[in-house]
Amino acid sequence: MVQKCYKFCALPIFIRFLFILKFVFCIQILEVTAGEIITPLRNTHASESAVIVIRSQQIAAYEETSRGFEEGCREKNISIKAIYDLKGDIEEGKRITQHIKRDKPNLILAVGVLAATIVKEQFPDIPIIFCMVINHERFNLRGTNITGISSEAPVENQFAILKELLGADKRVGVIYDPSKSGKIVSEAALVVEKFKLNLVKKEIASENEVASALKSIVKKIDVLWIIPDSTVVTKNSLDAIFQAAEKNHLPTFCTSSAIVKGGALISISPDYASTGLQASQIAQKLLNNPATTTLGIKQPDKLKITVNTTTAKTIGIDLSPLRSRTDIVLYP
Amino acid sequence: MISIRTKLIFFIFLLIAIVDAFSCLLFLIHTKRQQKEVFKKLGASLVTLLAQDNEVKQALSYEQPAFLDIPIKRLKALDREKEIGYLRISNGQTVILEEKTPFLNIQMEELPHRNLFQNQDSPLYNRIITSSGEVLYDFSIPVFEKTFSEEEFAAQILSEDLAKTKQHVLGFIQIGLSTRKLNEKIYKTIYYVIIPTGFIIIFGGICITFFLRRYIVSPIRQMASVTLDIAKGDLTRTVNIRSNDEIGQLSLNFNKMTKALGESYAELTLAYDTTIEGWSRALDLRDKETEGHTLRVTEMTLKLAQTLGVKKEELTHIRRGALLHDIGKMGIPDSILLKPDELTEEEWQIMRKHPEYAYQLLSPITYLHKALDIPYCHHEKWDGSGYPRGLKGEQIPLAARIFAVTDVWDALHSDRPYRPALPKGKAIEYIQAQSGTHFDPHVVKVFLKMSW
Repeated sequence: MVQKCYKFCALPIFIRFLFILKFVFCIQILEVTAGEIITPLRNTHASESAVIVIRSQQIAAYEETSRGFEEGCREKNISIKAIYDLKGDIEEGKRITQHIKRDKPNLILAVGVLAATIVKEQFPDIPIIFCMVINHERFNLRGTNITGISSEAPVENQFAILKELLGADKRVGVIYDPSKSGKIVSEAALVVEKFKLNLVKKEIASENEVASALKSIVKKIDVLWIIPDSTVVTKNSLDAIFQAAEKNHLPTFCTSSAIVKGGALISISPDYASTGLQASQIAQKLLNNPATTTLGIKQPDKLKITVNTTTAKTIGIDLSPLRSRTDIVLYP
Repeated sequence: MISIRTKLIFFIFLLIAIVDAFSCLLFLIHTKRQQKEVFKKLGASLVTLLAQDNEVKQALSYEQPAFLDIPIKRLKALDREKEIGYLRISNGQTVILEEKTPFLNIQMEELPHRNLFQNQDSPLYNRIITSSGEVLYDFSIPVFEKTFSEEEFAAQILSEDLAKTKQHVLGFIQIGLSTRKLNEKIYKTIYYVIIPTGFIIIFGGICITFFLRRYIVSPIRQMASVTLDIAKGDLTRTVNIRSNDEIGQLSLNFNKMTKALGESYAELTLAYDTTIEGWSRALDLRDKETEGHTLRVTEMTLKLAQTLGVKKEELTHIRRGALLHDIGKMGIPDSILLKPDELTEEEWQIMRKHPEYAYQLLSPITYLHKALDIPYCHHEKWDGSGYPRGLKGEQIPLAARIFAVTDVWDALHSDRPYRPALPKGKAIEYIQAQSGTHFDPHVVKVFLKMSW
């Protein structure tokens, strides 16, 4: 893939080389018409700007996002100079950033936490857009040149769907590691009241505590909220969670369609291609307005609901309240 | 009889032996377990460390054994006690590196290969006994392709299929730790800690035994021996008081008791003795004997007996016997006893019965049994011509032989109705003449040596 990328970016380098030659030759013309050239340069800025996409690793979700971004850019006449894949390796990331620095890009889209972290450190002066960073608040991803798109649906939207499906006055259980998801849970604690739901919190400190935490909480709750916390969500613990949920007819609710495919009941999550598209819109705004270097952290534009119908049948949940919605994906 | 000391030593030793054995055993088990735990932790950390080493990952992905040199050097630096017995790194199909410590007698071929793992996160450990008898702990762990764990998590959350997000295994690492060092450490603990502890406990036991003996057994033994003496009649013995505790109190009370007993015994003896003296005075009065004859004779007899080496206890009886020597005369009618003239043969017959009467009178009195010799036998003669039984030589009790001499001596020295007192020289002559016939020659010899 990398080789493919290099092939892809070899051409723009050549063009750039020609451009430099032209620049040397035309230096006299520029001197004369400096004032006039600025505007056309500005006009062509959006179309000829050097935008670079860096993905943390090669997974379908990231590819989908970057495809969405490419499509959006094509529509907006933004050319993408190169797409890099860091293969989930920091060393690789460092090597690639050295390479990118020579390109002097105008804007970088970082897909995934690894790419976002490296880019933030290496390019403090170039506008950066990050997306697909799970639970982004955990990472120090704020800065004057950083714009981000959250990879989770807003907590309010999550609870709105939950209420729509199950009704009010439900006890929502959540298992979390306070060092990783303390912020999300405290935010949720404020939001739940609005939806007339109760939050039953259970703190854990290691993966091994998931089973016992689940045991202690399962009888006291009507629905389990699975948050993207790497202490709680592991392959083994998810199996345990799904088994307990099935046994106790407990609906499970999360922020990832992948987990729904694994066995959770319902998720509300951003559409990955739409996230890419949203990023391209942000890119356009930033490129057209060099004075603006950041737009802050954005919520995802488009959310989709994924429901596992098998799980719904097993635990006996009536999906009719959601039937009318258009943004619903039924699985399988 | 088994003495208290023997019992005490036996039971304390038994107790100490049991306590010692149990505590040492528990300590040993605990130490072993702890050492083994440390050993397992070391193995797990070493193998995990190696599995996470980037250079090892590179060596496995490019099949370059040379890349392993530095990581293995680092690993060996961590293994300070040289416990690593063997090392095997394979990429699943081929073994990239195999190494064993020269001092171990093992064949790498017989060590099982590990290629499958249930739990990917923690190392698998196994106890292996080789055909050559080496005991090794085998720690194995898979090496995963290097990934960024946050990205791994993202992949898990975002990828379409959870099951697909499995880490790619580059290879396997197997480390065998030899138990030789572990055993050495355990033996060291046994030699330097457990055995000395055992000895300290035994020493403590010996000290306890010693103190028990010193403060309990010895006083009791002493009291036992004193009691025996007291039982024999020596009321002067006392127990040493060495402490202020219950044993000391017992000794003190024992001494008080002995003292009280001694006092009442002395009182009783005094009462008897004054009674006996009273009797003898009564006899003297009736007999119209020379004033103080009995007391004088008694004094002399005691002196002579002492010179002859008679024991102290015997002297008491001799004194009583001397005081009562003529008690039999109570049975002689006044007409004979107080007759101023020579006695007829019949009267002498009656008169000679007085030792017999004395015997009859005194023998029922247990208390005076030992004092009977003088009243009964003081008229026996060395040559057997005396009365009442005609005893001869040493058949006559020594007390009586002594008394015979002093009695005659005092009689010779006193005025009698029928003759005046003999001068000293004549008396000595008479005594000397009677030696061997009337008196015991040895007694006479000693008597004459003494100055009267």
